[in-house]
Amino acid sequence: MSLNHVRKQYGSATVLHDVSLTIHDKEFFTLLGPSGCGKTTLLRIIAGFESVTGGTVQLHGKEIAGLAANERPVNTVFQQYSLFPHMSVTDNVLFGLQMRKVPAAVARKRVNAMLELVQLEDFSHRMPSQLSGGQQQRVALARALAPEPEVLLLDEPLSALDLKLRQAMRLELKQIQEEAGITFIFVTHDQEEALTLSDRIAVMSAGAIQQVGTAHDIYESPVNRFVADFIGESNLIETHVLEYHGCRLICSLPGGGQIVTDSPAESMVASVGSSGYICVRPEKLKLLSPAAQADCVLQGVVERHIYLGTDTQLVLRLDGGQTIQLRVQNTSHTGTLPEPGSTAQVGIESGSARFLEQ
Amino acid sequence: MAAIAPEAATTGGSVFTGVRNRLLMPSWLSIGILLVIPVIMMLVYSFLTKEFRGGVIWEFSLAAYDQFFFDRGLFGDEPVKIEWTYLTIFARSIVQALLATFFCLLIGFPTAYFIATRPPSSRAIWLFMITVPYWVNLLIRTVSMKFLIRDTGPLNHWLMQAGVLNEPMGLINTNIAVQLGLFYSYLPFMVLPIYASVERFDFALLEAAHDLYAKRWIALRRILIPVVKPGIIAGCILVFVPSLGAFLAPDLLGGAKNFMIGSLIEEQFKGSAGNWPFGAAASMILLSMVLLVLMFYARSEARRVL
Repeated sequence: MSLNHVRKQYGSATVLHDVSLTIHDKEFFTLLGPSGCGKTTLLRIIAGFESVTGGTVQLHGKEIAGLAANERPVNTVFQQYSLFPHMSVTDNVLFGLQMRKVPAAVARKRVNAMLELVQLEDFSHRMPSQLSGGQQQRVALARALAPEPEVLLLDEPLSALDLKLRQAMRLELKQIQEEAGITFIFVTHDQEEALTLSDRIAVMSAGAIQQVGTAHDIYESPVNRFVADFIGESNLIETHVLEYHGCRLICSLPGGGQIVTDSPAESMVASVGSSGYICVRPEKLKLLSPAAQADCVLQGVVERHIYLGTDTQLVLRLDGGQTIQLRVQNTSHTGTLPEPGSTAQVGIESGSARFLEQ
Repeated sequence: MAAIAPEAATTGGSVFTGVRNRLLMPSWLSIGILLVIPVIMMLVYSFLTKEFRGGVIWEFSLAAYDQFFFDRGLFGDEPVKIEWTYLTIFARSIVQALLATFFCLLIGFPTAYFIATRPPSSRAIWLFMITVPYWVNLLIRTVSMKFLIRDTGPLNHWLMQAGVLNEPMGLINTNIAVQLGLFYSYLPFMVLPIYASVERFDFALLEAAHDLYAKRWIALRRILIPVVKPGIIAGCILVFVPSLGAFLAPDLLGGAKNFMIGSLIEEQFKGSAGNWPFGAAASMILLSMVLLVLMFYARSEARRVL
């Protein structure tokens, strides 16, 4: 499936600016972004509920932007499930097959197979109102999978479930996707969900795609401030470029040090002297003993500790006035942490810093 | 303390039940006085003997029901035949009421759908516009309708002036005029309950159906209509029942030829020519029929749920 230069306007408001994407067959692809970033609109365009203002939507090389929702081999799992309240579980799952005029005997078999897939064989005669949220979620999934769509769209399908159930369904969803062998396009604002489920993720903001890549790419090599900030936690330290060697830059550190950083080379316009941010993940920072000598060192005053269970978060105020966070694992041999108010030295793991433009 | 706690809980419960019963008293009283007692009075009166100048003699008699169904000749000595006069009036009433329900549904459903799909801010205005005519008394409205459609009225006048008609279409005093009156009288009773259920309808369901390869029309038929069916049924009952017993529209628009059961009953209680037991009997027959229809509906609903 490919989207080329898709634009969407409501009146004078542009919701999507020039979105281009290629989604591979049988891929678990996630659109991730904060609410209002246009991810749901994009999904609705693929489903056929919204028209495009410009651009093309192609499925296996065939243009589908002009087709109505009922003419596309694409099914949706809705955020609120939207099960038909007057139909039993079986009839809900059967509906799409009936509409496609699948012979009754074949359709029955398919319904049973789907209910088995989502482990609801024993609930086939229940009405949706007699099911729990998690069960309704599975029916919605079975209903959307039954007509064997080429692409399955999922609009924040887990957001209405409570935490435990959400985590369980996450694993199940991935399993079902692998079993069914269908392309999934998944919309979510929950980065944990996106990171654990997806083959690839498209991070969206303000109606545009910011970055497309695997979970690893997006977390380790964010291309801009938005992605670095939105996915996980990041320390963004103000800096300016001292030297420029292709995709390696030497940048200044507050307090006078220097650091070698990676950068998203292809889109760089920065040059020597231009300012930007050094992006470092909190777990890539190490507390150093006060006497240690190192190149890439930050000095600061400890502001507070936050106990998080598996680790403790330290908030440090740097000499320049900026605050950074780092994480120390709570192992049994962790030494005592520097008390709030005392000074501390922090080292940056080599190769873990990234230069991002302003 | 531990022993007191459960007791306190049960006492609390019974106090609450007492309060609930007292709060429900006005409802029980009004249902009793306004509904149960009058129906029982009707039932009793229908089995009494008529007094010639209206009223009843307290003497048990089946004469009223006998008169409704059987023809024994003027002096009651001829072989028994079925009396068709009243059965015909009954049949006409049922057909008229069914037609009124059908037309109200035909026009009322799209109207309700239209209003329910407007933005919330303008829905109130549309609903207001539907109900405004009904702030005028039904009698006045029916008389106005009579003036509008009679042979010398403005409708015929305009149509003749416009060259559509050569002579008045003679609409007044026909079954069609009665139908028009019934339709007009009871349309909002169809629109409002359907509006209420369409307004609550989750339109994402139509999107879901559309997504599952249903064409627009099929999605409406298979999803929207079954889901809002309680509203449709309520509307149909609210139109059918009063149409069946209506007497204003048939009296004023239909004339003597197009008598309906409501007019028949009304006549039995008006002036000195009336026959109270007969009117009461006709009412009871009408009531049993309405109850029968409602029971069939309740039965089929219960079966569907089980």
